[in-house]
Amino acid sequence: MFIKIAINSLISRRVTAWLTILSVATSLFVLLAVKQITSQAKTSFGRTVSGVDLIVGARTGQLNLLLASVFRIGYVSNSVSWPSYQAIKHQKHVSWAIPISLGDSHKGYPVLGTTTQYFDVFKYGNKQSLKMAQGQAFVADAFDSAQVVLGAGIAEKLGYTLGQELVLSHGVGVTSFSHHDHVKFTVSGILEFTGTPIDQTLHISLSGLEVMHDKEHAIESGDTHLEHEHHAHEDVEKVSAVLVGVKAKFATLFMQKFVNEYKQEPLMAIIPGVALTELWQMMASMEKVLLLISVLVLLATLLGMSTMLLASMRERSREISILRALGASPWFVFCLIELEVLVLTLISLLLALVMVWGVSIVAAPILSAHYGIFIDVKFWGDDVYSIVASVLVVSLIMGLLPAINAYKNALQTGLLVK
Amino acid sequence: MSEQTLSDPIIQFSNIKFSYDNGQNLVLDIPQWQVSRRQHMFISGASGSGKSTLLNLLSGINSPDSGELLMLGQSLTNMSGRELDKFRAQKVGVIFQQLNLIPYLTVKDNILLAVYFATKKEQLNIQNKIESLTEQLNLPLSILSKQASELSVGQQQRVAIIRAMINEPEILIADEPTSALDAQSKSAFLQLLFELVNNTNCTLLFVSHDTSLVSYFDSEVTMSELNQAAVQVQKEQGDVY
Repeated sequence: MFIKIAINSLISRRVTAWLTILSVATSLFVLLAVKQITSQAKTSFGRTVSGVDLIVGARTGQLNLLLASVFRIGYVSNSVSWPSYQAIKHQKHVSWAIPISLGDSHKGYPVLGTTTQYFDVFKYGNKQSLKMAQGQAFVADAFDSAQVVLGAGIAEKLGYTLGQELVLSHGVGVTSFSHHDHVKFTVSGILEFTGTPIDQTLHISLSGLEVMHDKEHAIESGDTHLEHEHHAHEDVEKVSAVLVGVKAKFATLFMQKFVNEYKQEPLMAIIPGVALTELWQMMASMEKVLLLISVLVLLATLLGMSTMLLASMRERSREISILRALGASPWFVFCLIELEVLVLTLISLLLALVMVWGVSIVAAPILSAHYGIFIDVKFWGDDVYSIVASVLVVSLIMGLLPAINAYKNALQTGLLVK
Repeated sequence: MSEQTLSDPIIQFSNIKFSYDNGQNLVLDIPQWQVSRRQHMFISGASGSGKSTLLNLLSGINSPDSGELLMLGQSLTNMSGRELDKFRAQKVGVIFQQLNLIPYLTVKDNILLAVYFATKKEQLNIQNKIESLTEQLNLPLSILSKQASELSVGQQQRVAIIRAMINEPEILIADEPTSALDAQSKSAFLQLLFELVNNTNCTLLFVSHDTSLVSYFDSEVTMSELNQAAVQVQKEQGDVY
């Protein structure tokens, strides 16, 4: 009967009730979305790179290097020369060193020039290796028929299959007008889905990249090439960054020092974990501001709900005196108002969760395609519990205002409100 | 009848004083008053004579500042708020002047509300009870599922009788229940009311300023006889003017 009264009372004021629900739901949506997206972005960033001990690049900010080399956000303006790469690679503590080259794209998707070793040693998530879903890695020195390995996301989005030929563009961005259309790349393999920016990346060999650029610009090549055992990289002069794995953990700092003090070229080495921490700190302040704003907006709308209920008290004094005459205690009237608050808040929460869920479904592919951020579309995330609980508590506190008003009303007005 | 009334008092006021501001302005001062079981008491008085306050005391919504108020042998002055609420729900039925029903509930739910506060649990034969009362008051059964706001004033007042009587209260308080009705519905309403009250052991307190209704009742009291505070106020006002 208690619940029936509250529900029917709200239904009888359905227009104001719905408006209140909509405003509370909207502000809850903002709060939930901020919370959900920041935490998911964190998880997504955190799982992108693992098993890489150092990233070596030209001197720049460590975030800049990390974002460009791993997340394909922004770009590195300077590069690492091939001799420097060789020097690092042959350090005794180094287990493996993989060069990567960035700067080209295909229909807006970044192109990564690297060696076949990349597919063997690069790890993501919980030290998972890259796996081929179809085909195999590119052949490193296939000069005549350059090959490309696609990330799962690209293959799916653009509908590419094995053996398909495609043309890469200079620079990044969808609307690049400078196409390298003298060299066609054949799809040799498609990677399994990883949930990292790798899904949005096209992988080609360094030599393939060089050939493409050489043919395009018709610049001389081979003049400065170096004598070394990797014949495939004979004409590679420089790379964007080098991913390094060390033989033992303690060597990480030693190698970092070695790179930072490297005389021949101004280089820097970053530890991905440390750089990520810096990124979190940067994000944390922004996250705090966003959270603060959304919490304030929510408080404002909850105050609005409290105002709405308070305003309805005047017209409801008749109702309260009827309830009192029938034997309702002032406490019953108090609880009735709080129950209405609870019902309004619960419906708003449900609506907000549905809205966040709906928007995530729409936004997930856009975020992954453009920012390499993968959000997991979940209706009920882990951090939703605490938000739901605290929102309910806060709304009940806000509901105290009209509820106490109703309580006093019930105590003071007798049977005869006229 | 009069001997029985004296021997079986159901309401007893002795030296009841009440004010809304800690004794500054006495609203109610009743040295002695008593109502007996099955009595049909007509209470008349002008507005401001303390009628509303008297009804609030009788229903336990307000408690007197001093004096002893006994109802059904129990002292209302010693009861807690919760006990008073329970007492009112179970023993006292109330009919207002108008707008008796909660508009957004159905007629049936409005009636069940009274049952809910009186017992807090389901009653087995409550449906039969509601239906038979509905028929007694010449209302169609279909009215039970209607929203209270869809009813005419006359129908609403009759539903108010059903709700007030559903718990078989010992005391029925009616506060000008006929003032919103036309002459024809008025007498029909009173007839139905008395029929029901006489069928039960209910004591009726009927407050009205319409003295043409006095003939229906077996006893009558005016607020000016009852309430010394009102006399005081009138005297003071007389002195000023």
